[in-house]
Amino acid sequence: MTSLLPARSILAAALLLLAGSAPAPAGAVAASTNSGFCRAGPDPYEVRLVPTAHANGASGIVRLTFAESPYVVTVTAEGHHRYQAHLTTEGLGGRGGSLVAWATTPELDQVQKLGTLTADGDLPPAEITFNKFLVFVTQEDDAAVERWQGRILLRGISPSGRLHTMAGHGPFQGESCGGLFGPQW
Amino acid sequence: MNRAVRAVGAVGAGTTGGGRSSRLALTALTALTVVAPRPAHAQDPHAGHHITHAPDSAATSAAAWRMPPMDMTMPMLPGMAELEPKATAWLPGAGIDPMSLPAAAYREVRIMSDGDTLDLTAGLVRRMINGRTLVMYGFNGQYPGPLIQAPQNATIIVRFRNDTALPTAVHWHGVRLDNRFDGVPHVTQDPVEPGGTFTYEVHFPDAGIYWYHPHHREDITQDLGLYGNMMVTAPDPAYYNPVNAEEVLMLDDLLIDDAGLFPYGEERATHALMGRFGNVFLVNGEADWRMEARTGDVVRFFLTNAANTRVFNLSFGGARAKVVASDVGRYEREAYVDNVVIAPAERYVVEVLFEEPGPIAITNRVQAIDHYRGVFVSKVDTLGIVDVLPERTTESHRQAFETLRANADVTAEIDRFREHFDRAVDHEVELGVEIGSLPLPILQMMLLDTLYFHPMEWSDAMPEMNYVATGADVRWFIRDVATGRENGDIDWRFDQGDVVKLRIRNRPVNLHPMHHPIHLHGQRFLVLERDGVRNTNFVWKDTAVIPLGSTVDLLVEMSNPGDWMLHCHISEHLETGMQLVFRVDPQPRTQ
Repeated sequence: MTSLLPARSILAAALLLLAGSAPAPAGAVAASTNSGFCRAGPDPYEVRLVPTAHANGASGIVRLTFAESPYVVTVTAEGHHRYQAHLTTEGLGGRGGSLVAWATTPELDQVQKLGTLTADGDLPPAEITFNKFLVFVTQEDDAAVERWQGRILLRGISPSGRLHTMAGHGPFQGESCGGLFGPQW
Repeated sequence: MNRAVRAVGAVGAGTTGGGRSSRLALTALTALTVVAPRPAHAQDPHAGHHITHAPDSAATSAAAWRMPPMDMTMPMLPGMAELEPKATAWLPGAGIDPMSLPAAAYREVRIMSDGDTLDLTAGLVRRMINGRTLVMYGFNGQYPGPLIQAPQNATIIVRFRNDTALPTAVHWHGVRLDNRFDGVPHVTQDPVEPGGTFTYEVHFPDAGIYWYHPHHREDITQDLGLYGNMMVTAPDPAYYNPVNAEEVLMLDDLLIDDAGLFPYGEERATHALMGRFGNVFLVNGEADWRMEARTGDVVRFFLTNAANTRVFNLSFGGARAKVVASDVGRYEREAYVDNVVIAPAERYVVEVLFEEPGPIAITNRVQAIDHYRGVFVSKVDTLGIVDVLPERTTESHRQAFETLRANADVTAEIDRFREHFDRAVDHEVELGVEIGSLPLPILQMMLLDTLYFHPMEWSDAMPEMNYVATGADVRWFIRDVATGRENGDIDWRFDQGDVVKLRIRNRPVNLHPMHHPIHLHGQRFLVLERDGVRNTNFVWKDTAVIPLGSTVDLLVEMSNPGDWMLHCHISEHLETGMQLVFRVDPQPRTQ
């Protein structure tokens, strides 16, 4: 076969680009900067949490694995992925009240309480059954709260948050990928 | 306990065909189609989707490319309407009057004993699907092929004859049989040319549900109906739970438009990106499959995914279900499930309790991606109906159903391998794809797609892009991390009795990567870990899906000497290179 893009070059370029990019919230990938658009190979199982103005300097990461089931891939009967969320945070110490983690759809019409962070700022593994979702951490007076009421400290969007309308970015924005996927890009 | 398999055909008029497709409730085309210039011929964004100039049966004339059938809510992308695959359009039986062919019959059950012989012929048949007369293939004129039922440890003789127009062979999927009879052209045998024959000796060392299919251009021949099941029965009558009935179901889909079967690529496979999704769902070859059960019955379903690429997410209309076995035997522990996720070539054995009378739909429910609008869309398709009659079951097996059995013998056998669970990885491979000379619009859309990788592709979200791609443009690969070798250049060697830890990393660093159902021939394996999470309920497998971005560790028992394939079971990925052959030597090498 001819005209194949050199796979190793693509991989190397992608890795270099990734290595050279500062961590950014997943939701920021769609920004119109060239490097943002061309970030090939985003981790589909990681949600980076960034601080709001109420938690400057804090950060967090949610690692997603598939919930346990007889199958390699775990989904609900409706087809939503069943993820096991492993949330860790830094820089949230010294606050009063309880730090509670939540997941919600982008429309905020469904909310799942994931649980209360431990003193170490971690969350016991919790299940998320959305395909596209936000994860956020709030500061609550009462850990038993059923819907969030306190300040939002950290927030992030699932990797599927990169899924946007076709006209919103991509070739219609004319981004250059610096040859990442071949000379024409 | 009903040990006999009931060959249930269509017992009622089809009700699922017309309402099967759940159309997306989307209203407007995106700005994309408004602002972008369209080809002059395509003022209708779906111009060409419905062929009116083609004959009613494409089998009566030469095949021709046309736009693939697709969801009518999807806008047609500019620049794509004129694209065609780099292959000649091909359909079986060109020039043959379909009515001159025998009408295919529903499969028969062949109960066989050790030493018995089965004559198996692959040839043209006439099928009626969704009211259309189609020329397809069948084993012994049946759909699916004969259901072979044989006792564990039996050996049967299969005298195969190829009456199709393509070279072929028969692969006995999942069966740890003699390497000479594995049915892989150019690896274990020469292709069986049209008119040729080959005699297989099929030995069944393991109880379970298996299947047979061609291993040469299966993107065509398997899709056209060349597949059948083998049920290998254990000597222990209590191997499975007592049930009221058993059903052996082969799940499939078929790509059909107004002109009939959508053509295949003659020189090479089309749909090389995502594989060929069908738009008509089939259960045992029928678009309107039904069965009857009594209220309170427990039915054991033996499920096989025979589709080229579709992963099914099955559920039974809310009826309670438990999964008891998979590819090569039973689980350590049974588990109640809401659904069954079954990738191409996988098998699952599921028992379902029908507690309420009325029709129960067996549905495939997925969250498809609408790339054009950037959203997940719920899609529900009905595969079949279980009519639960008001009559109560004659023998209740509820008590057994309410018990989750732990199979101590399975665990005891797996215990022999636990010392290997934490050993170092023996071989690590990466899965990926190289994209070549695809047209610019497709590459642009794939760049967009690169922003986000979904772990699984549940539907053909980009049908026009997908069908245009062939092996001339796309090469899927398995790369040995240690050596950098790929596909056929990988030359692993093992000794019989070796236990090998194989790490498969499906890296999301390519244009449009995808999940891959990986199949090992002639051996069995355990899915040890998924993304670093240890499995806690093992079952022997021969096929496991590797989601995109995931790393899965397999523990393979190299029990069977010979040259064996490891490959992706998405037919089009296999055809575009995603395969390797490893050797298991019969005698241990001298230390």
